[in-house]
Parts: sequence; structure tokens; C-alpha cells
Amino acid sequence: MAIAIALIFIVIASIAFHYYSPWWLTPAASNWGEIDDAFTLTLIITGAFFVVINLLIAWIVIRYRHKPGRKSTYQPDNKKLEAWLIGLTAIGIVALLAPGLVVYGKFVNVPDEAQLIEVVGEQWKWSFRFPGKDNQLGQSGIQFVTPTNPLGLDPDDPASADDRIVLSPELHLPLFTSFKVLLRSKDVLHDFNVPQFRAKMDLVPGTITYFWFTPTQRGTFDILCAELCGIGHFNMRGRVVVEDDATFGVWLASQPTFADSQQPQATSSITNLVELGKTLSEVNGCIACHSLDGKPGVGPTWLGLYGKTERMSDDAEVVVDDAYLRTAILNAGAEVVKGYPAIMPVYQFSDQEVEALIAYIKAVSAP
Amino acid sequence: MKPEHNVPQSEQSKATLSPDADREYFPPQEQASASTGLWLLIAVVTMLFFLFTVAYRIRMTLSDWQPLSEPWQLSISTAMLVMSCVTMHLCCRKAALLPSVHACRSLLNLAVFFTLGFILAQLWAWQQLLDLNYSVGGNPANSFFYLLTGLHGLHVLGGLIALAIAVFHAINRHSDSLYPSLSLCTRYWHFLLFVWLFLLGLLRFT
Amino acid sequence: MSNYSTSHSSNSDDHPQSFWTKYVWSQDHKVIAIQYSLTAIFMGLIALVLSWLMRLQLGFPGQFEFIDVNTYYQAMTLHGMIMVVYLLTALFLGGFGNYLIPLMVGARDMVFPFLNMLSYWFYLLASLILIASFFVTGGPTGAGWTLYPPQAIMPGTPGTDWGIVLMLVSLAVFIVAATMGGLNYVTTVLQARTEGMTLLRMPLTVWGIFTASIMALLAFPALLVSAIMMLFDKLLGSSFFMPAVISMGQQTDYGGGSPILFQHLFWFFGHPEVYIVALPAFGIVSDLISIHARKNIFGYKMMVWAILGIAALSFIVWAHHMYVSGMNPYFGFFFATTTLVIAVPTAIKVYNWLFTLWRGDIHLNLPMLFALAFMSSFVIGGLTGLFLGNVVVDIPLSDTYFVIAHFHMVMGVSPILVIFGGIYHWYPKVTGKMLNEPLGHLHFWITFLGTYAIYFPMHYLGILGMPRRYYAYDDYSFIPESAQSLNAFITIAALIVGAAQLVFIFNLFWSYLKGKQATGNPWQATSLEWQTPDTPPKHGNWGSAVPVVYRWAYDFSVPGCDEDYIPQNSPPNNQPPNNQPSDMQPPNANEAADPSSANDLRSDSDEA
Repeated sequence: MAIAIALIFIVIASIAFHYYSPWWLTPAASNWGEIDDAFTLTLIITGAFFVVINLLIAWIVIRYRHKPGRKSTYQPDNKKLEAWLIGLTAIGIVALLAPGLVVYGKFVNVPDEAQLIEVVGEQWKWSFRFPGKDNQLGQSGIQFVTPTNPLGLDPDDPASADDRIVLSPELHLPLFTSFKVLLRSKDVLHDFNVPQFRAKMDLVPGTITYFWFTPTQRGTFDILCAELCGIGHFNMRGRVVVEDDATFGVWLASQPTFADSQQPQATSSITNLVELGKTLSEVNGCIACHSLDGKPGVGPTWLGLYGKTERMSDDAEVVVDDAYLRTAILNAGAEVVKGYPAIMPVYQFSDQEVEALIAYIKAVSAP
Repeated sequence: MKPEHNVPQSEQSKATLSPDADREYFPPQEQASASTGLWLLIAVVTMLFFLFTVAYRIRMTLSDWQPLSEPWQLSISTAMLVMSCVTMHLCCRKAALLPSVHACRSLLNLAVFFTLGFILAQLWAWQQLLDLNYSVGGNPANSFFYLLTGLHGLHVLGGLIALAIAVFHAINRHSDSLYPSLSLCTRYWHFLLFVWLFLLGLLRFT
Repeated sequence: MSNYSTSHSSNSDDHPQSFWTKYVWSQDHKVIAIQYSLTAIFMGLIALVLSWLMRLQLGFPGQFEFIDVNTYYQAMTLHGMIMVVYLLTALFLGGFGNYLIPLMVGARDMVFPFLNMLSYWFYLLASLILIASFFVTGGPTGAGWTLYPPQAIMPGTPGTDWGIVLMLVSLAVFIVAATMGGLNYVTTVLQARTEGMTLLRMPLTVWGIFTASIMALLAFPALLVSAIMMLFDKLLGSSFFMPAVISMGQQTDYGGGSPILFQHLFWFFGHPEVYIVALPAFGIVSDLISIHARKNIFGYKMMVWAILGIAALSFIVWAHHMYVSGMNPYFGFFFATTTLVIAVPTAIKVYNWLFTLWRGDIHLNLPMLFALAFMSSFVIGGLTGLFLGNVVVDIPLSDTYFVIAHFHMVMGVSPILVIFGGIYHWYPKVTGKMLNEPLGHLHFWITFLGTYAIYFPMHYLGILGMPRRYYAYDDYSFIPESAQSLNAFITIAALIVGAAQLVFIFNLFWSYLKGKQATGNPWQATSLEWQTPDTPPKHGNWGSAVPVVYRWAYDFSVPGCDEDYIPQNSPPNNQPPNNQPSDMQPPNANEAADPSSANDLRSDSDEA
């Protein structure tokens, strides 16, 4: 009897939870809001089943629970009833499947007018590339990756020269333009996922995958990696900023082309070393592992780092100063802080860039 | 499965003649179970090699595949495996008539000889490839070659172990369990030959 | 037809046996079953503790310094692998299967007792190898139970030194054990059924475990293939799955391989695996419901067809785990269709359980309570599968907490409830004692309500878009503070439910020593295992004569019969004609033939 009451309570509590829950779909910010319709249809049909079957169990238990003298009916079979139920269930299944497949049909058919954009993922950051005026993305490959060519573009491919390279993890997109998002990984599986856009797809090293969508809402949206890619998976940060055409155009024009990025860097007068350091830390994925607010992460936090006495893996105690940071940035494997894994990538920075990073670390150490 | 002659009872130990045909020397239900068990095992091993074949077919479509020319030692090993199956088959038929280890000894020895010959010839083929610098990790075609031949060889070794156990039981029990076990072993040998010929074809024609 | 296997000469009744041959190196299926069960439960407790580590971090992020990123992902991986393979598969097939199959089909033991014993020791070896991965350099692998390459063998994932190698070797050893076991279970059902026990007279428990064993024989090779190829990639530098990659800033020697190939192979195993866990649960729960409602299972033949249909279909749905993997998008149409088709036989089973309860005589003892709880949790778990099977609806939900809630409900909660129900049901037969009831009720209510409290809200976190396999959720704009509070609530619920399992473990051991003495057939069930001459059954199970079977396993409340059950080996004299399921008898005909039972029903309804 208590079980019947519990089941009724579960049904009521579930329905109440559903209506009062603050945790629901984010507002759809792309054309794939129509996936929400298929979702809602599924919810209605399955919700009805959930309620009916649980209440039925409860009622059956109440009605037919054992009492002295009760004897159950002998009823091995009822082929007609079974046939009806199979039929109705099959209809229910078709009702669920058909609309879903119709929407999926749209999902796999990239519209002709879709623009190209490439997302490049690596452990643990996002980079982006736009085709230039030739509307063609240059060839790319792992074999071309160097510190000055982090996206691995083929320098001999004429189509590469005008491609816009975005190394900072912030992607801007114009409103209402369809995009075919090409996805490329430099190392392991990742997944480009913006919940508000609904569409997502894995990045598979060795191949180029894709999906398409049209942004329909202005705003800034988080990118969250959705395929376990190692210990930095949860902190592989990025942002998509959807804005109107004009603002987007300005932003795109300010991004360097591949040809520009291949020019030897002039030691330009950088007014703000700390600013440069901040940009570098984002562009090179430092912040995926090193937090700025003291939270534990893959690597030691930068809050309070400068001037701190660190214990290294061999129990030696070292003070964090400029020399220490220089070694840590350029030759991370040489000495590792105790309790942290030795997985920091190999970086090559110019002297000015190292200075900038050190300046930035100093700045965030003591806010 | 039953002996074909009705022969009067004679001494049992290492006897060369079959016992009284009326006597159940190996309960039929047990033989049926062992036979079913072996068919199931054959299904499992088939599944294993089928899946490897699928992986092979998919992997060979990718850009870095460089087909391997099979070493000539494979013709020797194939001949060895065929001979081992032939001798197993003959041995099995002999055991049906004369179910004692003693009588089947020479054929058994030949079967084991040829089986070991197969394994050694396979290892020789591997040696040849390694000498020509076809390393395991070098190219997926290489990797598959070592993998497929290696796994097949391991299954052949497993068969030898099973054969050894069967012969051991037959000697020790003074019973006439040799023929039933031998017929199962022979089935397994034929199956592995079939798998080998299939793998050979896969490697040769792709 | 002799059923006594000649190959275990050392264990006959008239031989004096040492402690070692009787309890350790035993070839008796009952001893082996208990060995499997105790090992599986022990592994499950390890995985339970690992789940607490995860929940502590998720509920109270950063509060427990020893749960760092590596530990979290290692705990997550081992929790999943142990629960799916080393607990659920081993317990259902090696534990329940080993104990029940020979007894339920009327055999004296499994057909290959020595192989049976070997399979346990290989399983134990596999478990020990897995536990050893905690103690090697770098610790166990943290690649997720799905072990996807390239990350599983590349730096940046914990355990890529030795952890992943030990995991793969352990799985290979387990697969050998599972194959040995599977050969036994399938051959025993096919060859060792006693006289009169046709396939269509077997209880559904046997059908469930038998079918699952066949699936295991055919699906585990896919895992072996993936494991061997990944070991090659890791240890021998091959590139089956490894494309050209940059690892930690450096180019590697790998190239040309396909990570998606691994996923296809893994899920070709992985999907049947979840049905290998589910089908025994379906079979067992059918029997629990039938026996404790004193009513034949409704639509027995249909139930058998549903089990077989689910088994066959389960081999062609695997890529619904790969909708966003980057595989050819057009595969999505095919797999979404097959996945939703498999919902039909599954739904039929749910309907038939309902119809079994309908007009039954429902005794609300512990096995029945767990069976009812199973139905409720399986319904919600199965229904959320429809969201994920429908390819386009899956895309936003993939890799979110919705998936975690779904598979825990349908793999974690439902089969575990059946395991508990089954243990409360068969414990009297295995030990001769009854499990303590008040402790059982405490265990039941906390587990049932607690698991709902854990997993129902979790779906909504997934709908919101919170990804799975995240160590922390710092400052994501769309995740409200309240989500963190919900995580804390779920953690508390999980810890309470975990603690309740210790009550169960205590009950198992305490009742063995001090529990109430049980009769041979306390539930008055019809199946053969309850008709043994001794309880617990002695070696050889049946004494001097094996039973002969005259009827199916569901002669409960047969009209015209005084008792409300007829054992399967009860001869047909003075009993109503054999009510085989092929007879199409509408319920009314029975009541007309036996007016007294109709009166009973009417008087009962007056009281209701």
C-alpha cells in the first residue's frame, strides 16, 4: 500500500518539479530552435506514458493487493489485446520518429548560401579561421604546424594568404547569416558546443567534420567542449559573439590574415605589456589550466603566484621570481610543482612575449 | 561415433581393439554438450575474425595504407596447416576403429609435428618481414599482418593445448574417450584452416 | 538420459572433501555462483566509493583538495567500467546465471564444471589486474569508461603510462572469462534440460540469462578487437586508431588511423552490453512479479519473442551513441529508426508486466516491492531513451547530464533494483535463512526514493545544457547558481543512498548467521529450483532422482485447484489439463468453469 502512495507521490512531485524547475532549455539563439519542437513533442508523449503507467501500477496495487481469500485470475494470454497494444505503440513510435527525422533531414542538408567558418580545437583552446575574399579556406595539415603557424596552414597554397586567423578564443558572427562550420582538431577528439545554438558536432583529428546553423539572436554565448579531451576538458573556454553585420565587418577586418601573420614580427612599441600578456595567455590556452581566481585546476593558479614559495616535485622549495617564470614558460618539463601533472605543452615565445606574460602574471598575482 | 565391429571383450589397458559395442564408453549427452560448446566457440572466434576483417577493410581505405607483399614462407606454413588437418582427420578416423592412444600414436605425432611446423613457418615469415624492416608500427598493413597472423597462431596453439589435454585424459583414464575428443579437435583444426585460408585471401587480394 | 557429468570425479558425494575443494576450487555451480557474486559485490562497493568522490567534487567543488582533476577523471572512468562490466555483467551472468540455470532446468550442474571454475578465476584475475592499476605509476586511466582514442593513450589524460594498459589487459582477461562462462550457460540450456523441460517451459529468468549469454558471446569479441588494437597503438606504435596528432606541442609518429573506427567497434560491443545487463533483469523481474502476485506471467510466448527480438535488434542500433561523432550523417536516419523500433518489444514487456499484476493477488513482500520499483524506474529510464534515440533531439542533449540521468536510471537503478529483489527472493534457497525484513524495508525505501531524488532532477540539468564529464563549472553565463545548489542536493542524496547499501551488506552477512530459518519453498513458487530435496541444495542438486517436468513455470491460481500454485514437476493426475500458453482461453471461460473462484473475486471487491 505504501508503495502505491509512493508512486502517486512520485508522479505528483515529478509534475510539480517540471513546472517549478528553473532549469530548462536556454532560449534558442539559432534556427535550430525547431529541434525544441521535436523535443517538446517527445516530452508530451513520454510524459503521458510516465504518468499513466505509474498511476496504473499504483491503482493495480491498491485494487489487487493481497487480502485473505483473494485469488488471482488465471489468464495466460490475450492475443487480440497484445496485437492492439503493439499497433498503438508502433503508431506512437512513428509519431515520435517521423517529425524528428524531418528536422534531421534539414540538419544534414547544408544550404548553398552557407558561409564557411573553420573552428580549430586543441588541448585546451579554440581558434578560428575565416576564408578571405576568395571565399576559400587554404589547405591545412598537421605537418605545417609551427609556433608561428599554429593552425597549420599550407603556406604554399595561394588560398591561404587571405584567410583571417583568430587565435583568441572569441568568435564573432553576423546575425542571420548561415554558416557551415568546419571542424578540425590538432590532437584529440573535442566537440564544439554552444547550448543556445542547439547544434553541436565532434572534432575528429585526421578528418574535417561539420555542421551548419544560422545565428538568430544577438548576444555572447559560451563555447563548451562536449567530448572528453583530457584533464582540461572542463575549462576549454571560448565565446561566440553574435552581432549585426556592420559591427562584425569591423571586427573581421581587424583580424590578421595568414599572410600578415607570416611576416616577421617587428618589435612594435607595445604600450601595455600587461595587456599583451593577457592576450597571449588567452590565445595560447594558458587560462585553460591556470586559473586567475585561486580555484584549483590542471596547473597552479596565478592568483598570488608571483613571490610565492613553491614546493617542486623533488621537494625542493623555490621562490617564484622572473627567472623561475621564464623557465616555467619555455621549459615547463624541467621542473614541475608538486602535485601537478607534467603535461604543459612546449611553447616558443619571443623575449618580449615572455616579458609580457611575466608582467601579466605579476599583475594578477596581487589584484 | 559407435565402433563398427562387435568384438569380444579383451584387456582394457592400452588395448588396441575396441570394447564391447554395447557398453557406453562416453555418454552421448556429454558428447552432444561438448559438440555444442565447440560450435559456440567457433561462432565466437568467427565473430572475432569477422570484426578484425571489418576493421581491416575500413582501415585500408585511409590514405597511408601501403599494401604488403606476403613473404614466401606463407606457402610453406599453409602447406603445413593443410597437412596437419589431413593427419588429424586420418587420426580421427583411425581412433573410431581403434580407440587407443597407442594405436593412433604415429598419426598424432605427425599432426602435432605439422601443426608446430605451421607455427614455426609463421614465425619465420615474421622474421623475414622484420629483417626487411617492415615493423609492426610502421604501416597499418604491417600492423594488421602481424596482428591477424599472430592471433590465428595463438588459436592454433590453444588447439594444441586442447589436444594435449584430450590425449592425457585418454591415456590416464584407460577409457576410450579418445575418439570423441579427437573428432572435436579435428573439427576445430578444420575451422582454423578455413580461417587461415580466408585470412590469406584477405591479405593477398587487398 | 544421464545428467551426471563424468568429468568432475573429484566432487562426488561419497568423497571426503577438503575445505579447499569444497569452497575454493569447487566445480559446483552454486559455489562458483557465490564466488562470482561476492567478488562482484566487492567490486561494486569500490565503484560506489568512487562515485562518492565524484559527487563530493560536483556538490561541493574545491572543498576536498584530495579530489583533484586527475583523481576525478580516474574515479569517473573506473566507476563506469567496474559498474557495467565487473559488477552488473558478472553478477547477472556469473552470479545469478550460474546459480539458477542448472537448478531451473533440472540439471545436476553446468555441462562444463571445470571450465566454469576456470571462468571464475579468470574473472577474479581480471578484477585484480584492474585494481592493480590504482597502484602503478600515473594511476588508473582517466579516459572515461568508453576509452576513446586518441586521448586515451596521449598525455593530457591520466593513466596513459600503465593505467590504460592494465585496463585493456584486464578487459581481455574478463572477456576470456565471460566466453568460458557463456559457453557453459548456453550449452547447459541447450543440452542439459531435464525430461519434460522444453524450451517453452523454462522460466523467463532462464530465457533472459540464456539470451544475454548468447549476446555476450557475440558482442564481447568487438571489445576484444578494440582493446587489442588499442594496445598495439599504445605499446607497438601502430596507428589503427591514431591519426596524425600534435601532442603537448610536439608532432608524434602516429598517422592515418581513425578514431571513429574505434567508436564503431566499441559501441558494436557497447550497445548489446547494456542489453546483456537488461535482459536478465527483465527475465528475473517477470518471475518475481508472477510469483508474488500468484499469477501466471501474461503472454509468456510474447515475452520470449520480445526477449529474442530485443537481443537481435540490439546489434543494429549501436551508432545511436555516435550521432555527433562526425560519422557519415546519413547513418543517423538508419540508427534512429532501429533504435526507436527496439522500443516496441520493450514496451510490450512493460504492458505484460502490468497485465500480470492486473487481477492478481499481490503480496507486497520485499521481492515484489523491488519489482514494482523496477517497473517505475525502468519506465522513466526507457522513455528518456526515446529522446536520445531520435537523432535530432539527441544533438543538443548529447554529452549532457540528460544522458547520465538516462543511463543511470535504465542501467544503474533498474537492474540494481532487480538484483536486490532477486537476492531477497532467492536468499532463502541459497542459504536456508530469510533476510531480515525490517532492515530490508529500510534498505528498499531509502534506495527507491533516494535514487529518484538523485536522477530525476538530473535530467533537467541536462536539458539546461550542462555538459557531462566536467570537473567544475566556473562562471558559465547560462548556468544559474541554483544549479550548483541542485548538485549539492543530489550529492547528499547519493551519499545517503550509498550508506543504505551498507545496511544491505550487513543484512546479507547477519542473516546468514542469525536469520530466521527458511523452509524449502517459502514463496510457494512453481519453478524447479524451489523443489530441491534439500535447502540449500546439496551437490548434485536433486538427490537420487532428477525431476521430470510436466508443465510450464506459471501454474499459479489454476482454476479448480486447491493450492494456488502447482510446481513444474508435479504430475498431471487430478489436476486440470495442462494450461499451455498456446491455448487461447479468454479469462471468462475459466471463471465460468470454476464459479467458486468468481465468487471469491466478487467478495474481495466488496471489501476493496
